[in-house]
Amino acid sequence: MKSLFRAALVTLLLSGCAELQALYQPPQPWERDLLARDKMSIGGNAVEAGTDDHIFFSKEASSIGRNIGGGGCGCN
Amino acid sequence: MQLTRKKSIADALALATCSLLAQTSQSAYAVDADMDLDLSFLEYHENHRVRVREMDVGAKWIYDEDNVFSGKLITDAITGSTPSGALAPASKTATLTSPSGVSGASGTGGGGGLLIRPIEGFVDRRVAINASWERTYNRTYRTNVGATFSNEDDYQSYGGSATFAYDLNQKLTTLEAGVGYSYDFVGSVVGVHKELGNLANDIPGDYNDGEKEIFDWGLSATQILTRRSLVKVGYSSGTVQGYLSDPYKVITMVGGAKPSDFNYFHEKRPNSRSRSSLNFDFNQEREDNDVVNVYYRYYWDSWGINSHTVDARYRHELGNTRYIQPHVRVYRQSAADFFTPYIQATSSDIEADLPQYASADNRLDTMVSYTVGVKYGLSGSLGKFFARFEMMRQIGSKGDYRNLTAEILQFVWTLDFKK
Repeated sequence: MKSLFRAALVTLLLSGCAELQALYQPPQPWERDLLARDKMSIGGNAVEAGTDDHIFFSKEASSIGRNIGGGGCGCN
Repeated sequence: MQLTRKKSIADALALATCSLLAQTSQSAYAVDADMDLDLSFLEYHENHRVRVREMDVGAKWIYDEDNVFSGKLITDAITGSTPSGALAPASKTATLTSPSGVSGASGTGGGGGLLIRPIEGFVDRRVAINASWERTYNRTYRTNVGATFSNEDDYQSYGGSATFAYDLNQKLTTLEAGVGYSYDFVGSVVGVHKELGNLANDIPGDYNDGEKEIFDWGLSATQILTRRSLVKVGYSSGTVQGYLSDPYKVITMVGGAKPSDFNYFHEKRPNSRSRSSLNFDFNQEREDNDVVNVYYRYYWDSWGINSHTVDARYRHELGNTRYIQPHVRVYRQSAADFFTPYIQATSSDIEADLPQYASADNRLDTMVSYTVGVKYGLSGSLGKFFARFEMMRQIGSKGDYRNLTAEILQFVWTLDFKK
């Protein structure tokens, strides 16, 4: 039973790797136009992200993640 | 005396920033440059609790292809009330304190201790300034150095950060490393009193500021996967040391000489905290130009808190100039090791029953938080604009004030000045 489970797991991992490989089709340097647009920036709009970071930092116990540094605040 | 010194520093820095912003806007027209100006208004409202109004002005000045300067001025005003952490018998209440300056613990009852309820008349103002300079070398390396300053009626923070980014693999991969540091002064309009000191023994005027140092660092890798997708994974870590308690929070000891006794103590948290997080961010544009963003963070720290955050956004294009973007965020955290809604006395010697650390702050409790919202954006000759509305619902596990509902409304207008 154990070996069956392992075989299933390995099969899943291999098929997962194959899926990942299919996902990886890097663009040529002249094909970066879509990625260069604001809407594709990681973290989204900076103003909105900064606001959200401050709100959640004030109301929750977790406080680091996407960004390094930033002003301290007495709200937490 | 202390307050006078801080006000002077705050005024000087505010003046310096205004001068900096003024110079920036003048120079933007003197060179072949591009400048973005962000104007933001935020209204944050908790039901029966806190209301925050925030106005931000941010400027990003692309001086040339290698140098980008950014600055931001944030001002906000907070009013309302927030839980003090105390248990309060419904029949007996008194005011504890307020950051607005309405001060002085008052009222007695029960077994001789003070009787406290959630603080009221809460007013606080904040002015914060961020400035940064991003420089690119050989189109491959980037450095970003930044400075921050934040001033409230009862809190000041001075900080700086530096990041280094390196593009490789034909710029398909970006590696980034960063450090951040801040030195904060923690005050209170009625003073920072002895942690786990009995409020009944507070001596007005006999207090000092608390101080704390925050150091963070992080590493990340961003990988372009396809023409329409990219992923970023990161690890962040850091330590906080110094006075980490909240000077406004108290904790109740129930019992003592009589079972009905209520005594109140200033909370006490450990004076150091190390914390870490793993982050995953993924962006995918669909064939119809809609964009999906998924973010996940796992966080853990030395106070025994760990949390999971999942954040998802879907940007649906409405033609070429408008879009609508629903947003969902789910957050779940465990409680700090020393969180307790109250302390139970086991003898008449209440001081002997105090634990090493104790806090009844709901933000340190086990919690689940849900946020849902929608954003509407458009662009035109006057720049870009978006408005968003979000609702947040927090569900804690202990205490009278464990649940919270809040609404967030924000308007952001980005103006693009091109020569």
